[in-house]
Amino acid sequence: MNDSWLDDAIRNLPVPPASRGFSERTLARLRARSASRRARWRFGLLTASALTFAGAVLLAVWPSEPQPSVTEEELKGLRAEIRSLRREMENTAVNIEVSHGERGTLRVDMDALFRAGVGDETGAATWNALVAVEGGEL
Amino acid sequence: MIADSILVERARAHDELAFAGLVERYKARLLGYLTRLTGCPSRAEDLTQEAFLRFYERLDRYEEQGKLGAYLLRLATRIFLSEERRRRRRALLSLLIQVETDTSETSIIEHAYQRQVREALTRVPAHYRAPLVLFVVEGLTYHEIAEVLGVRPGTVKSRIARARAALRLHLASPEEEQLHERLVAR
Repeated sequence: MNDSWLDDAIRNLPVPPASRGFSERTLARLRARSASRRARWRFGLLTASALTFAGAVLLAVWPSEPQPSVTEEELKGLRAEIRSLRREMENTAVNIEVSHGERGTLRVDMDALFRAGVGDETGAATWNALVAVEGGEL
Repeated sequence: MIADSILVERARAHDELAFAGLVERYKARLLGYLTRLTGCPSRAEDLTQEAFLRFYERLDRYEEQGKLGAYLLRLATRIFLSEERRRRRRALLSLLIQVETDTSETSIIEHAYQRQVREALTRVPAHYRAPLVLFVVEGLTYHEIAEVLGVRPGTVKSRIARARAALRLHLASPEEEQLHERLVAR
């Protein structure tokens, strides 16, 4: 069957001219789209920067090791004990080695303390806890 | 006339006037093609603009081979087909099964028979309609249409045949139409 009438019918369909200002509107859409893309890009960059900064801050403040949780009451007791130990140490006139460790905590030669008759197993535990809590303040 | 390649080169350098020159040069062709495909001038204009915007975004990837017209037709066809799929999905979702021909929106002055042709054409499935219009109106060969649609030339041939068959179902020839009118007048 000859379909030329079909082809002609399609070809003869009226086509409207582009409405006035077609190119201007295309350019306006182009600018709007570019601006929107730039805004999205900036927003992405800003978000990435903010996240990086937040990550860096978090890493900086994140505790490297668990901090001891000691109540005020326990701390008061520990301080009282250390004062008492100090007094005993002063009376023994034994040279006790006290040195600063990597984190600024005091490391006390407990053997020297025992040899001098100051402190015991409980005392050693007290020292360790206090050193961990107060760091270099001792 | 400034060659397409020069305008493309300038447009790549963000020269808006050069891009506007390309739009001026090809807008009528794209608009005509998309009006036949959609049956709706306002929708066709929107899709034409979208095709140009997509072209601008891909300027860096476009390789000038003296076939900018065919390249734009390819872009326009893809945009049309994906939009058609979206419309179909929306129609299904909202249970609007009826064929949308957008007759209310058209601003074209047309005869009754042309209106029948336009409506019949919009009833042909989009993936058959596009190769038919590219072949009949744009004068592309089977191979060129195959490139535009990303299918084999044999597929193009069979789709065009099916499009014609579908169109014949909805449309009488002008002679049959005249005969019918004469019979009704008696």
